[in-house]
Amino acid sequence: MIKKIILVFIFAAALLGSACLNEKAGKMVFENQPSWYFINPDSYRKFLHLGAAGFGLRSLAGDIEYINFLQYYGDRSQNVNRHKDLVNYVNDITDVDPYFSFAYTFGSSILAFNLDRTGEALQIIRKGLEFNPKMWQLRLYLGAILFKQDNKEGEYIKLLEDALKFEDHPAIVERILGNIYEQIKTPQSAAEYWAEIYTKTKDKKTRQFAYDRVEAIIKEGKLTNPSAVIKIMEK
Amino acid sequence: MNVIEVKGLTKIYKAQDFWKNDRVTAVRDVTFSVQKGEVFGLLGLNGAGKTTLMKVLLGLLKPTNGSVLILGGDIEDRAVRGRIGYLSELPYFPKYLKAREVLSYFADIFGIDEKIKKHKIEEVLKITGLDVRSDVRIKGFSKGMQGRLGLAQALLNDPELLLLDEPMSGLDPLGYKETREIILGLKKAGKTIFFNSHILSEVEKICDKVGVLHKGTMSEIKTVADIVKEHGDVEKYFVKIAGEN
Amino acid sequence: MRRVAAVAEYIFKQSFRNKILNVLIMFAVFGIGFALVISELAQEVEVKMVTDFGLFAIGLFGFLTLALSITVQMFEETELKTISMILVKPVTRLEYLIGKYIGITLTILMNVLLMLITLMVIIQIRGGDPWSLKLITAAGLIFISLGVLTSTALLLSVISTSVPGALIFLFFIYILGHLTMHLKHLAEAINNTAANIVINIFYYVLPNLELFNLKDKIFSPSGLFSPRYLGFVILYASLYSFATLLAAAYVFEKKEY
Ligand SMILES: Nc1ncnc2c1ncn2[C@@H]1O[C@H](COP(=O)(O)OP(=O)(O)O)[C@@H](O)[C@H]1O
Ligand SMILES: [Mg+2]
Repeated sequence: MIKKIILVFIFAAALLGSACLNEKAGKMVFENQPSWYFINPDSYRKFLHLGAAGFGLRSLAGDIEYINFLQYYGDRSQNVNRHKDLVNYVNDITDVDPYFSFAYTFGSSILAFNLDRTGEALQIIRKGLEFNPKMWQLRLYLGAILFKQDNKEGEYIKLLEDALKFEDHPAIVERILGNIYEQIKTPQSAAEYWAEIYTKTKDKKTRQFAYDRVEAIIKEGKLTNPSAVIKIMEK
Repeated sequence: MNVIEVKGLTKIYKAQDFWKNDRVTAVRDVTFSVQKGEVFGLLGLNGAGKTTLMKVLLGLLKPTNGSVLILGGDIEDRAVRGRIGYLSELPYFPKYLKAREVLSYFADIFGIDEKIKKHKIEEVLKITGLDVRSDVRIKGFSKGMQGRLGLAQALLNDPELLLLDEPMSGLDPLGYKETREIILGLKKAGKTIFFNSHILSEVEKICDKVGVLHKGTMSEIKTVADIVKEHGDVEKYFVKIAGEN
Repeated sequence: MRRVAAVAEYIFKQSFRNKILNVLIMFAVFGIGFALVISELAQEVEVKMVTDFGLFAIGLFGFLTLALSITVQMFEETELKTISMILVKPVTRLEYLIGKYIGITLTILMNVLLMLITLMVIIQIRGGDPWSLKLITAAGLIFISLGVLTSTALLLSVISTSVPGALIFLFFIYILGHLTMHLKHLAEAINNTAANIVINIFYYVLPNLELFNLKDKIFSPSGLFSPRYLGFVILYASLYSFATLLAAAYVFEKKEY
């Protein structure tokens, strides 16, 4: 009898203790990332996103939305309307995973510098800063896009060059800068830049692109010191 | 000395189904005892309550009423359980194991010393005649061999009391003979054996005493010699009891 | 102690002899290998993709391993009645239950480790850091949550008389255990007393599996990888498992076979 009472007591104590800890740890989860519980009520994919959130798969759902976005961006038939829905695709990613920082930098760079839609690019980068105020690389992109809006080429080039110094920059920045260099710098320094990218970039496509650019510039025959370029590439 | 002592034992199964409340009285007010060194045969038709009675003796089922003493103690007592062996009805063993592996597991559960474990396993394999096939996976075992493996695991701890639930069901006549010989050998070794069966001819050859369980009620316990004297053979006696309602 | 170890060892070995479980484990490893293929699509975030997908697969296949082990165990015990042969031996039911718990958790641990190693190799191939502390912590918490679920599953297996019944409840708890936290959050917002009470009961009685979900937060600036939070969660897991195992032991002690 006494044994039974003790057992019931121990059981109740363990359950109560676990409930307290549950409460405490649960609070920490919410305090830590209040915006993790953000779901965009206007998104037509909100139920999918809610489902992913419910099962603790926001990050993975973000990846899937990202692949979806890449598919759209890579779809040539959308070139005619200049990928008009691109901003929505980026929002789909960041609605389900607001901490997917790469989506902000990649999406806004494409919109601002490839598609010339700085308004939409700003919208994306501002959302990124709202959820990730401490990620200050995002401010480089914000600045660059604002200068781009005002057509201050020298200023945004500087900011993009700074962005390039961060490990997690999207490879598109490398290409954007390369294209600008080809227009404003000597063929020699442009080729040297591409050669540099060829050795450093993490993106396979950009690596190939850089190789092709170097080849094209060499073929034009305007290089002052071709062996310097080749030397960089051989590293 | 009484190895098994049962007084006023009743077992009522509560309804399995949540919605129904029918109850089955499987064993009704049974009193009997088994003495050391005896071979006791419990006879009964299917559904008479033999398995139920044996499971109550083993502590797998809790008695609704009455008392059970095994080897002078309580079956809940670990030491008491260490001194008995049990073979269930139609024993099953994982198909992909070998006889030795199964026995090794059961020996560990018995807490048999690692040093003598190997020796013990060989010993029970020999008693049950499985030593020649002990490296075959159980997948390749016949029903008879599985039964003998069941017997082997019950013998690992060198038990004083053996409880065997239908050790011969599903066997062929050759299997009967083999099992009978094993049981008689164990009897010779001084073990007390309590077993269920409805194979009357074998019971007659093996048992010292017989009790008939019919619809949960136990008949008078008689020695086989007395039964043969009074009724000619066990079958006639059994039909007489089971036939009357 | 030796008896506990014997039961645990038996169940562990048996799992790895079971064909379905082996197939499941193979599937799990292939499943993670599949991350290598789909990450091909996710240019420039391959490492994130591989990690997210891999940890998701570890959680899912870990749970399936658990569900399958419980099914195999329950089937052998109740349908084939092997348990009666064991329980009449000088082993207490508590020892048997603890042995079973350890055996199943070890099976899951092996499987999770196997998948984690595969995942680490793939992350290495994709140019990420396979020894990332966050990755290993997240995988560790997945294992701990599966440990909590194992104790819950054992409780279910002794309470229920049929294998499908226990299995359905286990899936139910797995799903609700992930949802209650969010439901509670939502319920606080909608201010409905009745709904609130029901959700709170579920929240405190069912295991809160979402607490163990750090796999979702590796690539976000989360402070949950702190020793303080991990301490809370591990203590929670221990207390909750202890309570469920105690309840399971109590029911098991009374159960007839
Ligand atoms: N778990 C159970 N729940 C309810 N009734 C049962 C259960 N097991 C057996 N019975 C019933 O109890 C009676 C005796 O069964 P049992 O002991 O198995 O008989 P025997 O072994 O002599 O064939 C039968 O009527 C059977 O239907
Ligand atoms: Mg029977």
